[in-house]
Amino acid sequence: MRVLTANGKTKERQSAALSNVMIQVRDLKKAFGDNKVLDGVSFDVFKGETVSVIGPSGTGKSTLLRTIIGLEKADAGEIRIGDELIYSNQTEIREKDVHSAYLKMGMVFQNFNLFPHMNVMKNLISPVLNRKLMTRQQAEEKACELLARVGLSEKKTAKPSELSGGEKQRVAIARALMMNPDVILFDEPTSSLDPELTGEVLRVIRDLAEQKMTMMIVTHEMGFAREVSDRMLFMADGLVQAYTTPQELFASDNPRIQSFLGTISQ
Amino acid sequence: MDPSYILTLSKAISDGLGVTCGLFAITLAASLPLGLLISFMRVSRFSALRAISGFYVWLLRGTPLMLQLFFFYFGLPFLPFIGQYLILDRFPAACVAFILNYAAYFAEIFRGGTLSIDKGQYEAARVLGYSNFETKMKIVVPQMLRVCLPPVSNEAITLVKDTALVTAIGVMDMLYFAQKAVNRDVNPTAFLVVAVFYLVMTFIVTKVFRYLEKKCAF
Ligand SMILES: Nc1ncnc2c1ncn2[C@@H]1O[C@H](COP(=O)(O)OP(=O)(O)O)[C@@H](O)[C@H]1O
Ligand SMILES: [Mg+2]
Repeated sequence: MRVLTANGKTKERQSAALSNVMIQVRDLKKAFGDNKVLDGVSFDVFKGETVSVIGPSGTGKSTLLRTIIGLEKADAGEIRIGDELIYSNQTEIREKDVHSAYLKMGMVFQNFNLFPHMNVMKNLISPVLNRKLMTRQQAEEKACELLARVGLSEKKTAKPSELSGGEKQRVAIARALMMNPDVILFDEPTSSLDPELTGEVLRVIRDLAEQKMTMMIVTHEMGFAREVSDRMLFMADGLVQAYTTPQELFASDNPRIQSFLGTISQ
Repeated sequence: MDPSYILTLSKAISDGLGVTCGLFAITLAASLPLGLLISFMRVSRFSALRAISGFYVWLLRGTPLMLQLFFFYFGLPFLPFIGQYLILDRFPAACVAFILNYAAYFAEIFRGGTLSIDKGQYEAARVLGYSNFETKMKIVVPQMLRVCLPPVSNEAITLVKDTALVTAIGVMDMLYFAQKAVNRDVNPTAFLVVAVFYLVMTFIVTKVFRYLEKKCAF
């Protein structure tokens, strides 16, 4: 892939040295009208790292993930996936050049967003068949493998409406895995589940973390985040306030972090 | 009531059964896809397409079907210059009027159904690599059609009964033959018999749509 600068020259890729960085975000800005939601956010996520994103509600955690994966258009800054520059306000990037880079990312939503008119198997295989990434037989084999991995081998022909919330979310994770992503972004994957159903979803995510899937997880499950994360990213006021290991974050004497952790543990 | 008389009437009316069913089937088969196309235009990026389709729906829903029928049968040939090429037989004229009219209703039903699709569906499709067009055809339209089955079913039942309007331009449908029998025998029994024909048809249409609703349930 070539990235064209404004004057048309192929730009030397400076990130070649950072080959162990999976997601690189630099000075990312995004406003909705006057509401500056991301006000210059910068951070890296390394390959195989699990990063939890925490912070008060309305602080731009969802917007951050949605901007990275292209569901929102940033106003300024840079985003790299692997060594590909997929967003920059300095450099002209043609959409079709970075399309495949975007497809290296999967996303799991709070509301699952399974396709209700397809059964579980079709939910898994339709996207890869649509992209012509595999033959139908390969897709079905892979789907069976993944359904076994998330503990839903019995549900191949079930409609999403026949599944519990926890099952739906596990199907959604399997569906994201079908595309062989390098990164999965989770936006509050357990927030719309009954408390007794969060465990089965968190187990699947923990399993992915152990297999070194690169993940960013927006979550309010502090116990889970603390245990599964390599680093935790604390956002407030449109900025990264802290980005460090769970041990350091929970031990921090930063009053904002303390007060946030205080409110959430109640 | 004499059973043999009723049998005679039934035979006479069933001469119009093919025309009534044909008009029903042709209208449904053509106006559903046309309505889908118009509903796409209604939400198009291009304002000209939105304006044209909006005008179309306004015009066709805002005037009586009977008037549209008269227009396509009696009115078209009077158009300046092109009129002489637009002389339609009764049945084709009826089909054109019905298709265009029902397409406008279906377009509005489909537009409403499309608006009811959750935006999370578009987002999931997008991150799974579906293009806008693929999202529309593979994700949105199938769900929308399911959502729209009950109102489409209502329209289909209305259509069964609306077919009787074509008697007014001399198409030989069931009502046409019933009316002929009434006039000839000076006896209104034929109206009762034809009513039963319509009831059976609406009953079948209702059952077929119920079946579809069950079969396509999410
Ligand atoms: N599509 C949008 N249009 C306008 N404002 C939005 C939109 N999406 C989010 N916002 C606003 O951006 C801010 C951050 O939202 P969000 O990223 O959802 O926060 P979080 O996920 O941290 O709770 C909120 O004030 C929200 O109202
Ligand atoms: Mg959020």
